[in-house]
Amino acid sequence: MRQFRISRRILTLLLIAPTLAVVLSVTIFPLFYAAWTSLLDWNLLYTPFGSAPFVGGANYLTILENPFFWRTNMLVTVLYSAGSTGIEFLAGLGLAILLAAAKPRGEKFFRVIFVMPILMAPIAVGYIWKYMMEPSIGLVNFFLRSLSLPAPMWNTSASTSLISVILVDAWQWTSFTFLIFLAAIYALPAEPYEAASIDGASTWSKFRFITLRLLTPIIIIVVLIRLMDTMKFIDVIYAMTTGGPAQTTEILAYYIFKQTFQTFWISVGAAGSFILLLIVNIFANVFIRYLPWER
Amino acid sequence: MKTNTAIKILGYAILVLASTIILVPIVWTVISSFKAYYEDLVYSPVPILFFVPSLVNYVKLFTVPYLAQRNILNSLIISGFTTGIAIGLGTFSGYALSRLWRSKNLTFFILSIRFLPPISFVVPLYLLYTASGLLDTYPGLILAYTAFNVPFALWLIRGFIEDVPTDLDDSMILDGYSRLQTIRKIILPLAAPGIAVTALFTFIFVWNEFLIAFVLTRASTSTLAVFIVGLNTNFGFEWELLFATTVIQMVPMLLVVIFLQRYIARGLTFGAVK
Repeated sequence: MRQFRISRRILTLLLIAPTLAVVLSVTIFPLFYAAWTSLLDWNLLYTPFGSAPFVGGANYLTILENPFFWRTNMLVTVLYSAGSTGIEFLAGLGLAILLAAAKPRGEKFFRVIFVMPILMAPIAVGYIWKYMMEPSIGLVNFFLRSLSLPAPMWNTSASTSLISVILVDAWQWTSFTFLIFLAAIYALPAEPYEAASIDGASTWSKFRFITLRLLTPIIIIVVLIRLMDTMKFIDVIYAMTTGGPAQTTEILAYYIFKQTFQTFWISVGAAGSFILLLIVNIFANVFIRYLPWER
Repeated sequence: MKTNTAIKILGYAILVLASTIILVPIVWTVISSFKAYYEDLVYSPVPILFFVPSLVNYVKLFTVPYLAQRNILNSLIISGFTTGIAIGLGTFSGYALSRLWRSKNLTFFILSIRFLPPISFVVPLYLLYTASGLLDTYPGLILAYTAFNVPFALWLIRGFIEDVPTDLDDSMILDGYSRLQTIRKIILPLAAPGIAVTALFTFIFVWNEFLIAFVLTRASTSTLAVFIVGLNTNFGFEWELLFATTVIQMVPMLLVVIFLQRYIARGLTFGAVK
């Protein structure tokens, strides 16, 4: 009955090697290639393949020395990521605490509703909201007008475009923060609360010193996931504004997309990619530290 | 007692308000998908609620050649194979990294791949795929998506395997069973719900992904997300098809998610919430 035995070391290798092979083949080579590309002066439209001159760090300097890049792309990135994440964090935590405290009937029903937005393709969400926020025929402005409120131009005006994409991101992902915080609150131990009650602690101080403190690791994880995702994904911006009007929604990731697929200046796109990669990597390192390793 | 009632009422009110904000665009999408005429969609400053509902958009998507049929099939094939392969690789490697070689560095190295911004290497990947003939092919797409999703699948499944007490598989090995038999008889059955939810997450991620598909596909393998972008034509946006496509894309996911609700928070947080 006993099958042939292979050593533990070889079995380990056999089980891990295919995964490493797949992951490395698709990510590591392109990454090195992108690193090399970022050191060339390469526009797909004008430069024949393989003849792009080596320019060293010139692309990075082109990007980083341009005050416009800091004033628009970097500023927009910070506002977009911080704005979306901020709303999602506050609203998600608030709703989760409310639901946990109120324990309404039909809690399951609410949960099903809250899971819906995260199941939708972000690109579809972007187009649907573009339709809903259309200034003259959109549903949003119809509601606002019927309440006699000002009806803004939303994504079509430079003054409200960034707010529009932030609100859409918040619409889709507040559900995400809500579901996580709810699960985390339900998993909180009961003992600290009982002890605090015996000591006569107020509801507020219980929240402040027990709930918030115990939730801190989860809060950090959720905030970092959202910060990284808002910096990485351009679906909603592509659908709603294509970075405009007047570059008011052109986050760094969209700048890379534009350099690469519209001006075809792929060496500058690659340099931008590495700047983004560096930023996301810093967040990812902190993030990984908060993940549970042992159980 | 009084404050409790007040909190309850306030809680209800805010939850109902939040649910409304979530539901209005979704319900509006569903309603709009039954509008047969473009006029019903885009020419009235007052939302049109009374119209003759029609299935014509759905019928179009499924029957008109070169419309969405191909994209639906492509999305199913690519998401399905990616999920299968990612789960297979993730389970075996996750087992190895939980039971055979608990290398924290290697595990986190693999997981870190998940955090790379896709925009950073779609272009080199595009050049590589053009050179090797993988562009616009199923294997090419499945390979790219698998590479992106294995790290996450491995990490989650490893966590679920960690939850299986080691005593169980140790005693089986003492009884003379092989490691692979242990995986089949102990690990797989006990980690099954976790593996199922990991599969769901992988599937949804690929199903909804836009950038990689946008760059690496052309006519023959383009997915539903790429189809949606293609609705933005030179003659205007084909809104009626957008709404029907969105419904087709979302409803199957929702049905599965309702069954696997218990594990969703854990999947969403990389296993940080149980």
